[in-house]
Amino acid sequence: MPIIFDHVFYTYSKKTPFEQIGLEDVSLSFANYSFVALVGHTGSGKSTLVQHITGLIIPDNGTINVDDYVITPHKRKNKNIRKIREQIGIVFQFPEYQLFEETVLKDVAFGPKNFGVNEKEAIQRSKDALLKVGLDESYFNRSPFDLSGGEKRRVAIAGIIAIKPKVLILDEPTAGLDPQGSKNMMQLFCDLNASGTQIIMVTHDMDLVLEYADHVIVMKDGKVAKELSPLELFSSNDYQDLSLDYPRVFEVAKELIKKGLNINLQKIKNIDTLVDEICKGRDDYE
Amino acid sequence: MNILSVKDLSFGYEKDKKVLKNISFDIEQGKYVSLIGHNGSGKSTLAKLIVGLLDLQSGSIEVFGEVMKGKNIYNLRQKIGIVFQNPDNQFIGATVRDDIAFGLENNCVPHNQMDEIINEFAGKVNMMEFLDKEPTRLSGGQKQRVAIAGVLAMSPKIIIFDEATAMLDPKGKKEIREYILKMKKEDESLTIISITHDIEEAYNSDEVIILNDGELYLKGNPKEIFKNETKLKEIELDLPFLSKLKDSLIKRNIDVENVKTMEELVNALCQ
Repeated sequence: MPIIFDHVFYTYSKKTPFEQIGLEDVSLSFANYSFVALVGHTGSGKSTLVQHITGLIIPDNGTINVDDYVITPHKRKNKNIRKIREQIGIVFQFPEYQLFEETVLKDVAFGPKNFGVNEKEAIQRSKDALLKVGLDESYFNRSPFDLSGGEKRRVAIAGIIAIKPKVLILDEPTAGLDPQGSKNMMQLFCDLNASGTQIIMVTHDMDLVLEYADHVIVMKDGKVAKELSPLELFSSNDYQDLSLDYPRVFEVAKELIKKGLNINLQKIKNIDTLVDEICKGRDDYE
Repeated sequence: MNILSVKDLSFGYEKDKKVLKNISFDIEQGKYVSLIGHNGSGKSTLAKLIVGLLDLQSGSIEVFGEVMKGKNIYNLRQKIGIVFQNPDNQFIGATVRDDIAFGLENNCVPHNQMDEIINEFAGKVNMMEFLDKEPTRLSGGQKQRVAIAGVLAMSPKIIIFDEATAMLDPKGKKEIREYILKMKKEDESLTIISITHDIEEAYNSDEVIILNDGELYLKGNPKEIFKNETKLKEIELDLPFLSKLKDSLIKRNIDVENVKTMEELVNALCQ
């Protein structure tokens, strides 16, 4: 789905002592990529940006085109915005903010029901979604508020997946999940991505960026600092100025190259592909 | 000296479902202890029991050799600070300054000393320029730094970090971690309990406690514990990056069994 930002400006608490720049002249297109990572220092405007996509924040200036819908600074003109909210699901950074129902199953079913799916279908979709995020039947009738932090996040993600959005926006989706859980969750997003769901992921985890993203947008002080591929990003000379980490496999690969091993950086996404390249490189060596 | 003794602790939110099952362990004063385990394994529940936010159901907790019970809880609680994953849940003040002051007011710190203390701790977490901002309007990482300053200002003897850096960016994470280590250096008697999914952090701490499904699974020196890979894999716990990489290489018949650091690994591969 084409999502296009055209010179978007936004300031928090305008004309108060708490005034703070959120976005400054942001022009972007999410049209040509299926898995976009949004990275940048804390407070750089990543979360502000994604909230503009579904009109949770209305810009002070500029427009956002989502499919054939135009979000403008004039509140009253943004009618039927629900239409785009049905197609774009957001999983927020703190999942407990989007939980409210008595039971886990009811909570997940709220989304689809809200968008007009009938009760039976909504329940079925919710059960499927919960199983997909790794919560079995024993969780269905528990209160979402008695769950642990990681389990709450899974419920929140299931709630969005059950809506079957065309675009899935994930704000730090794996923060607070145990390592096995985050691996499974990323696999789920990958599967959804493969079957046509466009993904926009806000993250600090460069390992995830390298492994999954096909395009990266770097935010800095409310502005778009860079738009490029993961490989271009991690190979750029001024990368350190962005105060981001290197993906760990990338760091190892660079060390190996320095020592003379023939490794193709473009092929490296994770430990498995790194090991493949190491084996190849060593064969060449001998 | 044991600063914390947990004895035969069991706890459940619902009647027939125990979240913690007969947990016992001691923590020595001055240690940096990592508490790890899967989501829902009982880590946060254990932390809430230790700070007295949840009432004990069975078993006991001793802090400085004193049993936590009745009125005692309030005295002992003053010695333990906790920083939660979501800092929004612990904000009270209208500005960052007020928020850090809240705990001090509660402890009857004289007003003329407050400013100095607030400035000191706000400076340590790099939030000086935000002192007059509203905490709710800060970004996630900034909020967490305020929460940490608020806890530190109370000079607790034990600080529990419940995934306190999970929501921070790498720079923020590093800053907080470096500050914790610096704090520990300045006051060797300070005890840290860090609930974390960061295996590298656990690997570098003094001691690791692993919870699995409400039970104490393993406890001990991380260097020893992470050697026991089969035992960790049994409960699908993650291994440090170096171990995972070594594992994959060994599977492809590359002999890196005895490699101990990343540098050695790189050298071994390039021979």
